[in-house]
Amino acid sequence: MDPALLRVRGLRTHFASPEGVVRAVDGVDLVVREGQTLCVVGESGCGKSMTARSILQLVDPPGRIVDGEILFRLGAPAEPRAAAAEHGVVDLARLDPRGRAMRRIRGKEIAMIFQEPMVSLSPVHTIGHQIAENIRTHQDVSKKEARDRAIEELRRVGIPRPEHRVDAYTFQLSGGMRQRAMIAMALACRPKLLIADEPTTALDVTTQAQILELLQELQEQLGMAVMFITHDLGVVAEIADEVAVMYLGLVVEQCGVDELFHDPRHPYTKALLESVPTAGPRAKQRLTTITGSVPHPYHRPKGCPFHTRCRQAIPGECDHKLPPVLATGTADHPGSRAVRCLLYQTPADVAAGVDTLGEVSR
Amino acid sequence: MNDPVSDPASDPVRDPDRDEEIYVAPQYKLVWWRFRRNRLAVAGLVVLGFLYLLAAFCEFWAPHTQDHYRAVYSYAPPQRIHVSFDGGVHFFVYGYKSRPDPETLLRTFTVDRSTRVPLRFFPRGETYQLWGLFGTDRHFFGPVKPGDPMYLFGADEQGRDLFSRLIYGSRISMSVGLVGVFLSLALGVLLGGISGYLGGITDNLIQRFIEFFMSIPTLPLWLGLAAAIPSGWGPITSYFAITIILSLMGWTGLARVVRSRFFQIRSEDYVLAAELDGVRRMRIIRRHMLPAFTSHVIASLTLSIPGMILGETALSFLGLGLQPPVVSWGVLLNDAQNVRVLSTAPWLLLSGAAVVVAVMALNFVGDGLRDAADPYES
Amino acid sequence: MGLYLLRRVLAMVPTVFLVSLVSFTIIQLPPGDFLDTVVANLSQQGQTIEPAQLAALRQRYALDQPMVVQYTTWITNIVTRGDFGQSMLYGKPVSELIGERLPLTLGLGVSVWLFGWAIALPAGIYSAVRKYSLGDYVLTSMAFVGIAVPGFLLALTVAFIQFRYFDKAVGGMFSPEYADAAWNLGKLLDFLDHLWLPVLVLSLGGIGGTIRVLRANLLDELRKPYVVTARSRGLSERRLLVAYPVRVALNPFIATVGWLIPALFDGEVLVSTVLGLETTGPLLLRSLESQDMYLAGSIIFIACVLTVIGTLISDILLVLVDPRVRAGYA
Repeated sequence: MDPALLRVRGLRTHFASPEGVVRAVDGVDLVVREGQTLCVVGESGCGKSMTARSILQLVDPPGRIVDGEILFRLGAPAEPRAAAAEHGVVDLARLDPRGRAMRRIRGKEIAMIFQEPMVSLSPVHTIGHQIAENIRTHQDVSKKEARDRAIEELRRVGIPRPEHRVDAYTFQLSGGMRQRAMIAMALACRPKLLIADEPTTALDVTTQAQILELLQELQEQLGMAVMFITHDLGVVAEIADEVAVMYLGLVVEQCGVDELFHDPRHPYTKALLESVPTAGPRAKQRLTTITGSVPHPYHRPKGCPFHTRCRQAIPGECDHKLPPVLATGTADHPGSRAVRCLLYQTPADVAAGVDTLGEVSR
Repeated sequence: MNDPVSDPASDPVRDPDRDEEIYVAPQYKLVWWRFRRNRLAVAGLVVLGFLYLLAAFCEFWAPHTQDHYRAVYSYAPPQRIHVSFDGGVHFFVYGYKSRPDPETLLRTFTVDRSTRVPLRFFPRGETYQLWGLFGTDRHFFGPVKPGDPMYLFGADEQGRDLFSRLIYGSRISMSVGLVGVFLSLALGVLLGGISGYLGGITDNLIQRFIEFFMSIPTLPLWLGLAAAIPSGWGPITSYFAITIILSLMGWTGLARVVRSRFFQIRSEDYVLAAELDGVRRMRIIRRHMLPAFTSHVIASLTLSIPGMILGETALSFLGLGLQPPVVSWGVLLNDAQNVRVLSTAPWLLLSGAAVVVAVMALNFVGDGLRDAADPYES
Repeated sequence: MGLYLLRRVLAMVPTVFLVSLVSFTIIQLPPGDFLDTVVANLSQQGQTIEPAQLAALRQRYALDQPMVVQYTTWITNIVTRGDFGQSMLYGKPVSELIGERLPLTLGLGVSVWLFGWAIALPAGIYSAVRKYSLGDYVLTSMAFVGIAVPGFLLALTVAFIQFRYFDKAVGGMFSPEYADAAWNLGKLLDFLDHLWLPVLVLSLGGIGGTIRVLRANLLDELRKPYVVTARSRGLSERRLLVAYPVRVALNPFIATVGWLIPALFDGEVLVSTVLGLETTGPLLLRSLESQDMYLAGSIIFIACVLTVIGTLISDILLVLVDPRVRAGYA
């Protein structure tokens, strides 16, 4: 049994400007399961970050969630600390972004870490102050206690001499240390879900590996779920349990990590995988790129957004009809997968990997 | 960031032809397109254009010359222009009835509805030399009969027309800022450029020097210097002396802007690329660096003109700047120093209104330029 | 920190030296030395001065010596004895004249500063947080007007309105009946009644500028990722605003507190002249008009020195509030 902790259905986040509406997120469906890692992958501008921000209602105006549900399960059965009143499923999209209910979820139930720790942390406060503030926002503890907890948290994320570093400012730390401090801050209240928005993109490869390892370790220790946003398929292979592939504000495919790499269904996923350089027997081949470029956000194609670049696009179909979600099995079942593509007509086609043209994929 | 709004590709344009146009447009066009979107700045630009046009041809626009006086109309109040429609459109003002106040000996004026002073476009009036080139007696607007009283903004103590004097004053007041700013620019660009280009000890020395200048209260120093101008100097000489004094304090800000932009641009990758390509130093500065900061410098220039105008007004208001018979807005305000005079002739404050309008227009334009200065940003 | 302070104070010395040179130059600008002016003035009034007395004065201020000696004598007299020279206009020592008026100037400055910030800081924050709201438009337009209207013009206008419509003569800091009275409640109220107009007029331009700069700074800060991070941790909007972006956006203001002093001397000359306040501004103006150069030069010198001290205070404050700067010197 691996029930959904977070379920996003038909989420739409739009930016209205005098020149037109940018549909940054336009009908996202995805599921994050308790204790598991979901990687969200896609090219720049596909709406990954906006999806993540929409979940915590952190979209700045003129951006606005215009439609959809963000169902988050409060107080899991395994968690005795949750009061009975807090049990049940809440639709985050319906909460007031400035209200108490939303604020109680931010940082306590769902925490978030960001790409650039240097600019994502306050330049004028010590990291200890920021961690303690986080603890005191959600728990009734004394200042002294909060500070001691902050030191503990810093030790947990592997910062050496935490009792000194607790009084350091962000600009006094190295990039890796800053990211560790941000993780400590995010996890201080033991959230059930950590949203990581490209947390390793700005780091060098060695540090990147260390941070990924740390995240996996902490996830095991604390039993939280992670929604990890990245454009790096190498990172996906390393940490993901499941993967959601996004293209132009839409999740085109969600499946387990093995299915993704060995048995992809959506033409975009396939194209994405082919564009990754590989070592081994095929290494001498010319690297395939996806033809064309991501359309301008004001010129969002009708129908399936990928049809302008898709090798298997069906003329007269893909440019008219938005493909529905085809899901195999029950969505809560771990082995299930979901695809948005007109090459498949029934969930059975998806399961079998047989598309309408009669070809068996790969 | 994946935020599509901040995506550089998301320039709010849909028409592909227009896209093409944007990619090849020269920088000044891009700046202009962005400037145009700021409505306040455009309004400011229109007002400024109007003011400078007024200043350039002030003899023509003004119904009277600046020194034309008629003592009987001492402190005559402003008149309203009326229009009558019988037999074509006619403009006229009512005449004055006046009698001397037995106590103050000042005349009090009332509107005399029985006499009409007809007005027309391009009437004959006093003769003047336009730009010292050719003489004429045609004015833009005025009474049909040259001797008739027309005081749209009222009269001063000697019965001179404030409206005409305001128009004349615009020439000095608006040009003091321009001339002063160009002197400032020369000093600022020279020292700022040297500072930014050489760096090191020279930069440090110049910076300390600038900081020193900035730490001096401007007005007392202006006053001190202005007081030292010999009273025997003619109007032209003292005009230039005043502008030099004004620009002496104004250049520091500009020098700072130039220097910091210079440093910023010098570390840009495209400058490095040009250096690595073996482009000569002067060419890098001319072709690669100058275009990147002219717009910023123009914006700061515009924003420092108001300070000059206000400075001249303050000095002349205190009687330490330009002296009559030269007419500037500050000199005109000098008449309004006394509350008692003001209560007789509140319209003397109108020259202050002119200063406010000019300063606001310049601020709007400068702000608009500053925002538009970097067309490749966001 | 102590070391930094010491370095900063030492760095002031050359600046003060330069400032004193400028002031001395201004004293020397009019032709002839100041005793010539005194003699000319006295003889105009049909009086003469004893040659012995003249010689004594000439020696005291080293007027017959080369410029360098004159300067050294002048600055030594100031530093060692607080002797700024003699005002020939008032026939009193300059130090006494300035001592009478400087407290009022500084008091006015402090009131202007407190009042200005009390109005401008909340207004600027409001304007940035409620961007493009009606209140924002009203405040920003008022800020624009505040910048464009010269203080003395506003003073004139208000003085005119009070005179014409309320039949109240504006001028001075006290009504005649309280001028020489000892301090009591009535005198205090009378003082406040006279204080509000100059304070309002003098702070207006500063308020306009502060609102605009604070709004721009704060808008920049509000866009920064650390604000989103703080929000993602569940902080309330109010706490979030005050604890983070406002603090950062205020730093430049704290850093330029010292610049308020030159601004005060700038604005005060005109406004005090118009409103007839007994501050240093009108004194400077009068001394310049009658070429009472020791008085004029001294006022300019004192204004400059106060500005230098103000800059020092700013720098120290900036170190205290901004850890980035502090770390740079740690």
